[in-house]
This record gives sequence, structure tokens and C-alpha cells, in this order.
Amino acid sequence: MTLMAYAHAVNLSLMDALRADDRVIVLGEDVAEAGGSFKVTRGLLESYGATRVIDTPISEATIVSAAVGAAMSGLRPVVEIMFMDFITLAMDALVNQAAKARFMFGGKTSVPMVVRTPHGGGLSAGPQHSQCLEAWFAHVPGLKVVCPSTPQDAYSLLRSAIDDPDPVIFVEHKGLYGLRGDVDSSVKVPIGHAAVVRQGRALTLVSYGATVAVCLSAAKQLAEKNGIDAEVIDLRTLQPWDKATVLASVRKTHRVAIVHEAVQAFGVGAEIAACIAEDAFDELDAPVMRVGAPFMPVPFSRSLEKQYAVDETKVVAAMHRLLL
Amino acid sequence: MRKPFLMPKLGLTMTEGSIVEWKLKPGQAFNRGQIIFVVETDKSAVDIESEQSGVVLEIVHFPGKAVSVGGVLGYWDDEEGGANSESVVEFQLQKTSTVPVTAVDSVEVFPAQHQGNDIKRIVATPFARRLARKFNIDLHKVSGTGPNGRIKAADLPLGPATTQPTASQLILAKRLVGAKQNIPHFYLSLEVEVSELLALRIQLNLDVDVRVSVNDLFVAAAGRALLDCPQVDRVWSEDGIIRLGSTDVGIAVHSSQGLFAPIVRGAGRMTVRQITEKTRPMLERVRKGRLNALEMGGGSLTISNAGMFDVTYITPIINPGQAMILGIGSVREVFRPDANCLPSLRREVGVVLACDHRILDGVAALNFLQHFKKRVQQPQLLTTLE
Amino acid sequence: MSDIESPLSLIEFKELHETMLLIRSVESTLVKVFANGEVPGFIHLSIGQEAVAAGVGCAISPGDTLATTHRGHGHVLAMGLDLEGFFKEIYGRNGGVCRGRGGSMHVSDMSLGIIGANGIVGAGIPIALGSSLSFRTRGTGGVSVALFGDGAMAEGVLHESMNFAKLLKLPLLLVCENNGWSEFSPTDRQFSGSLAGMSAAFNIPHECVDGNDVEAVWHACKGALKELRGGHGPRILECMTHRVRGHFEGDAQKYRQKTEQSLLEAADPIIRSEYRLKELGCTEDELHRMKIHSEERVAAALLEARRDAEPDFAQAFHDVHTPVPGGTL
Repeated sequence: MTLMAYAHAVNLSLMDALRADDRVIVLGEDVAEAGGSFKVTRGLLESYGATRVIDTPISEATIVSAAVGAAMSGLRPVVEIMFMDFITLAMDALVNQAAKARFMFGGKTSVPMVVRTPHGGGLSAGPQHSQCLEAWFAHVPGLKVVCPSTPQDAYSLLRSAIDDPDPVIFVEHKGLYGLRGDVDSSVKVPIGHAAVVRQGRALTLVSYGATVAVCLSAAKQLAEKNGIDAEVIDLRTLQPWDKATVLASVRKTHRVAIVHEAVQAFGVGAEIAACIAEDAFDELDAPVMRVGAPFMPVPFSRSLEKQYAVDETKVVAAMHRLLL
Repeated sequence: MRKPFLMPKLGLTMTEGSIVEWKLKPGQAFNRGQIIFVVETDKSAVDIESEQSGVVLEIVHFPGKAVSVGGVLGYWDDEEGGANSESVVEFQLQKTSTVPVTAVDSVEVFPAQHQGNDIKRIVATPFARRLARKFNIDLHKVSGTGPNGRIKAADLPLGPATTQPTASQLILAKRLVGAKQNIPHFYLSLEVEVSELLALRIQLNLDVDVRVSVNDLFVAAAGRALLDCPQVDRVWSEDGIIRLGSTDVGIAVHSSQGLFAPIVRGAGRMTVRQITEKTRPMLERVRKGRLNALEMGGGSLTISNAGMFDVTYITPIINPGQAMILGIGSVREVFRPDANCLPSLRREVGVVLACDHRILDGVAALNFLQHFKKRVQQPQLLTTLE
Repeated sequence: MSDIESPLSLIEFKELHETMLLIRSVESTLVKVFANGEVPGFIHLSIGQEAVAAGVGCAISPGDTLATTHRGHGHVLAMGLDLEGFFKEIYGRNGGVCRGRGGSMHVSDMSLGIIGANGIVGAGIPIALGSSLSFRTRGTGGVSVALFGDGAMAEGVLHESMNFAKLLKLPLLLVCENNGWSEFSPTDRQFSGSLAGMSAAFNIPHECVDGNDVEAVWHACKGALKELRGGHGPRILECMTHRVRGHFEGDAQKYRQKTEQSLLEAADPIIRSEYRLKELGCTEDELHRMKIHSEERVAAALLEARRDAEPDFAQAFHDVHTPVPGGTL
């Protein structure tokens, strides 16, 4: 067990995966020589060489498609897309190729690749460098989508993603790279399992990524000031998401809000809310709520971005509305 | 051409309606889109406007008369000449304020709540409905406190199977569990004669504004007993047994805010009147939930007086941090044999002293209890300082 | 002409010819059954382009991989795709090579090295690049071939792949089947440059061959593959050929001149191959028997396809994700 930053946990996970399986290769823009624009892949080139840690030209469409081809031909590639915003350039590779190869070729092949990419704002990175686009990929059959909120989960889920026989989009948060936490590399976290990070009986908050901590703060605030005990669930995986854990919580608390940094409209929360309404209708003592970003591109100005962000105040307000 | 006004079909199940009001008189011309008359069904009132222009000729049925759907209400002229016809005229329904209308021939008029129809839709959460079904509660009889008067589970007359403990309930629960788990309790009980005490109280309260209570007298007695028996005025702590010697006495108070134990500091060195002056404002603050930190905590003993209820003995739980708690029951009138074996009327209270066996042994506890009894039975001494 | 150690033997040539005959028979049959309404969806036929398919498909070795396009029937058949499985897939039946999940545009078999037939123009190119990256990483000596049409020359992924493959010296063979038509537009109105020009820009050796001469294609391919296996980096082979049918079946080809039609017939790769085989000693009778044999094979496979069961819907869910031992999703 070691205390380390989230970025370091990802780095360690890649190192350990490269060591454990020589089919694993890492590729992306500036991942090798420069160690990554967020330094997440620092040291990999020195340890594993240029055959397995590859700097690519700025050709997102091709490098992700190449990962598909490499994965179908016996490798386990881990591709980095420098900012999730750039994943748009690789949509064909992910949606038409990676997601469909197993299915449209009759179940006779699989594509064991991982696309690692940081999402999220809060750093004044502007509209084209701050987006959270994970909902798009959760909507594509054939893709798995994972979003860890802690260094431990980052380490363990990346190992699971690399070991997974199907394409996995591994979403990191650029604002969490400095977050420190204990990491035990022997801990395994399977894809598709949520974690109840705070137990409670009054209401349930479902979240993932950077907003898990926001939910925990909001829950603490409400417990101290109002004696209200909220349950907080960290989904960890978005596709497939742990419906059983979420529904069990709703059956206990009867009130639920889904919280995420991504735009609220048509987001991950919308799907979860609909499933809850459909499968746990008779348990609901309040409408299912969502807290997400407004329907606006992420603004640059610090003051604008602050108002844009999903913060403790907004979560607390949603919690109060749930209790009306 | 002469044409009839016919009663329109305004709902799938409508069989008849009546005119509420004719907007025009015979001889009056109207334009396309103008309202001719208003029809009332069992669900709502609907303005009927014309698809064509013309002139009203004759009113057949006046307001209030029930007419079958398709029945003739009156006649009009389309001013286009030609033979008279009984053909149906196309009417365009005017929207009422809340009734959604689509096509004339497929109108389903939905009752609007404010129009006072007889179908009342209950607004309740799915969970509340489920509980109502389970426990056979009629939701019509429940008023909801949620938004828009929505009925939530908490509004149902039966309490939900589980309630949320408040933060203070949780804290108290933790303390009490801790007390029972960590403090080895033993108990001693006695009947104590209080006739003198009660008589003294009456005397003390003649012509005064602030009245001495029975509890004040018990506090005074306990304080003096602590003074008499300094060896029990001690508490157990992680660092060891702490000798207090302060003769502080706590009072267990129940208020709507919860259970409190304000402390009368140095009760053993106060007169009963001084104790009264001290406790009155404290009890006021307890009622308002405004006890400050200095008024709670400390001392080796609390008195829990249940005398205002009907109970012989109460066996209370020691407040963590203290060594004893004294439970006092209600006054009982009993006959006891006197020195001559004749029945003598006594007034007694059942007293139970719960002790922390880590600090007190039976002898010390009995000793203290005896002193308390003596003090209660010699109440006059409580009015002065020794 | 690339220089190779062994020239094309007669047996190998006959194999090429048989492959072309099979492709022709399959595609011609599909013209008829599609017109009957028996085949769902779109089909894109490669009549007239058989020499490229046979020349490339027969030149590559087991262990190599090949990615093809929406017009890939010929390529995959040349790679040895099971004929019955092929027809069943066209018909969307359970016994299809993709169990009815993909159809004409996606016929493939990973076990034969076919890493996909793609409905997205140019998409197979970077996938083949990835496959060649795998060969390099694992040091297997394998080569990946990406087949694409001249219509893909405008796709960004081709340019990106040429760049990337060259930088990493990957064993990638890019084969352009240039039939002069990008869907419904002549290529010269779609692409301002040339493949030769692009190759020069990326310093990739480019060779141009007569795509209707199966021997030439085979030789060029063999030569290129040898270079690739030597680790010298990617190569481009441009095969000039003709597409006889429309972009897809049902396309009336009103955009093509009638005069072009007669030119097509003259360029027929099968006729040319027959001529060459006769030069090398084959008899009319033998050639005729080869043709009949192909037709019989096709007829038998078609029969099986028409009879095969529909795929089971519930079963299709099993192919969305790969089962994970001990885990359920």
C-alpha cells in the first residue's frame, strides 16, 4: 500500500501491465519521449523501449484504428487520446470499427484495446479542452466505458481494462491527476461494479469521476447541519453500469439524484434516471433528479467556469429538493 | 340555405349536453370563427364557434335544456341560397382554458381540476401509493405536504416502518450504549421518608416569587451528602480516578429538544434557595435548547427525578463521565409500624442509586445513600450553610 | 517488374485462374439473385476486378493479414473464405461466416487472416496498419495488406497511414484497386493528385501494374511482400483495372458512357488469362472444365444458403461483448 497521486497510479498500472504481458503496447501523441502531456506515461519508454512505447504523429483517426487492427492481430494496445475532446477525430475507429468488429464478424474475433483519455474542466482549458463526452460511448453497443475517481480505482480498473477482451474507453480526469490516495496493486476492481462510498438512509447520490468527492462533501455538510444521512455511490464503470447496486440503494432510501460533471441534457444521468423510474417506480418518494452542467460549451473565463461547474452548493440544493 | 345548429359530440362518452348561453340572437349575423353558443357537458363548458359566416334564424332550445348529441339547437342561414338542408354544419371547437382539443370528431375532453368536476386525481409518490395499498390507507383522506400538495410516504397516518434517527438521537444512543457497555453498574435502593421535606417546602414557599421545588431540595440533599462523603465524589477516566470534591450535582431534564443534564456546580456548598436561584434560569434555557457548554458535563452525580409521574422505582443509566445516578420515584403514602407497633402514616419516595463499580464499592455507596437519606429526612439543615 | 526467386508456375497460374473463375461465377450469380429480390441490403460487385483479387489473395502467405472494402467479395474468396459460409452470410443466415450479423460488406474470417471487410471507405487501411504494427512488435515476419479503391485516395486516414507506416517502417502493403470511379464520380473529379504523387511525398515506393493481368499483379505483389518482410517499410501497389457493374447492384450507371462498356469487355482479366494459359499448354477442354467446376461449386453453395436457418435474435446478444470467464455483464 503506497500513497500516490492519481497520475502516478495510472503510470504504475501501465508499467505493471507492460511487465505482466508482452502483448501490451502503449501508443499516442508524445507518450514516449515526452512522457505524456500530463506526464502520465513518464518512464515507460526507458523501461520498455520504442517497440512497445510508441510516439505517433498527430493522427487520431489512424492511431485509434491502428489499435483496432493491432488488437485484432494479437496485441493489447493502450492508446492515449491527449484530451477527450480530440476523441471526435477517432469516432469511426471507435464506433464503426472497434465496437462492431466482434459483432459484425460473427463473434469470431475480439478487440482487446484500451483508449485512455482525460476529460473534464476546472482548469480554464476552454471549450475544446474540457469536455466530458463519456455518454456518447456508453451509448454504443460493443464499447465499455470506465471512469475511476480515486488513485486506487485508477490503478485497478486500468489493469482490468487492459485485461478485458473488448474495447474499453478509460476516462481519467485531468483535474484529478494530482489527487493523492492509497494504492494497493494487489487489489482487483472488476469492470461493472460500483462502490458504495458512504452509507446512508435518507437519500442516494449516484456519481462518478470528480463529482464523487463533491457528493461526499455535500453529504457531510447535510449530516452535520441537518442530521440528514445520504448514501453516495461511485459508479466507477458507466458501461456496463451496476444497476443492481443503484436499485438496492433506491429501495432503501426512496430518493435519488445522479450527479456528474458532464452536461446534464442527454447525459449518463438521463439513462440511469430512466432505468430507475422504470424499474424502481414504486420505491420513489420523490422525482428522480439529476445534477449536471448546463447546456452550454465549457466557458473559459474563470468566473464563468466556476458558475458552470457542478459544485457542493448545487448538490446540496438537489438534496434539499429531494427531501421536499 | 337554412341550416340547423346541432348539439356537437364533445367527448367519446358524451350522449347529451345543454346550452349554457347563446351568444347571439335571431337576426344577428356572425362571421367565421365567431362563438355562437356555449355548451355544457358533465365535464366542462365549451365555446362553439362557426366555420362559416351566416345569420342566426331561430333558437329552438334555450339554456338549461338537455339535448341529445346531434339534436337540433337552432337554425341559421348561410346566405348562399339553394334548398334548405338538414346537413350537419362543421363547427370548430374553441379551446377552453385547460381542455386539450384536437379534431372535432375525435375530441376527448379532459377534466380540468379547477373546473370542479367529480374526478379528483390524487397526487402521491409511487412509494406512498405502494404503502397505502399495503396498509389499506385511503389516499383521499390524506393531505400531502410535498410540492403541489403531493402525498409522500411521511404523510401517511401510519409511521413508516423505519424512521430516520436525528443527529442528536444518534449521539444520545451512542452515549447510552457506551454507558451500558463500559460502566459496570450496581444498584442500591431505599425508601426515604419525605414528609418533613414536603412540609419544609411549603414553608419556604410562603410569600416568595421564586418557589423552591422538591427537586431543588433533593439536589441540596445530594450535594450535602457528597460533602459528607468526599470519597464518592470521584469519577473514572482514561488517566485514572479523578477526585472531584466539587459537590456538583446534575439534574436530568427532559425537554422537547431531548434529554439534558445541566449541572449545579458546588451544590453541596449552597443553600437550597441558592440552588433554586441557580436552577430556574438554567431550566428556562434548557426549555429553549440554549444550554451552554459550561452548564453541562462534570460532576460525579446526577439526579433523575421521576416524581411527577406515577412510578415506584426508576433505575437510570449513569451519565458517562460520572460515577452515580440517583433515581427518585413518586411520593407514596404508606403505613409503617411505629415504635409501638402501631400503624403510622408515612410519605416515602423510592430511591435507587446506580453506581460505577470501578470507583465505588458497596460499602461506600451504602454510606453515601445513608447520608443522602439523612439529609432528606433532616431538611432544615439544607436551608443554611454549615 | 520486381525480381523474385521463383516465377509463377503453371500450377500456381491455374490456381489464380480458378480463383478468378470462382469470383466471376459468384458475382454473376449474385447479380441474378439480387435482381430476384433474394438478397437483403446492398451488394457491391467486383466483376472485372478479379485479377487484383486473385493476384493479391494468392500471393500472400498464411499468417499475413488482409483488410478489404465494401467491394471485397473477390478478395475474401481469394483468401480462401468458405464458399458456403460466404453465401449464407450474403443471405443473412445463421450459418454465414458472420452469422448473419454483417452481410456483404463485412464478410471475413479472422482465422484466414481477413481482418475485416469495411463499409467505411478507407477504414481498413489504418486497421491493416495496426495489424502490421503487431507483426513488427511480435517479430513474426508477417505482413498486412490493405486493399482500397481509388475512391479512398481522398480519405485522410490513407494519408495519415502512409505517414505513420513510413515513420515506423511497418510491413504494410497498400494495394489500390484503381477502377477510375469513386462511387458515381470519375476519380479525376474527386482527387486532384495521384497516388504516385502522394507516395513520393511520403517517400514510399510506388509501383503501378496492369490490374487486369493476373500474372503481373501476382509478381508485383510477391516482390513487394519480399521487400516488406525484409523490414524496409511500407510499399504501394496501384493496380489499374475496370469495374464492370455499378457502384452497387441496382445502380443503372447512367453516368457511364456506352463506349466504355466495349472497352471493358476487351480488358476482361479472365479472357486474358485464358489466352495466357493456352499459350502455356492448357487445352480448351481443361479450361472449360475449370469453369464448369466453379459454377457447380457456386450452385451448390447457393442451394445451401437458401435452405439455411435464420439466426437467433437472443443469440445475437452474445456477440456484443466477449464472454469473460467468471464474470457476467
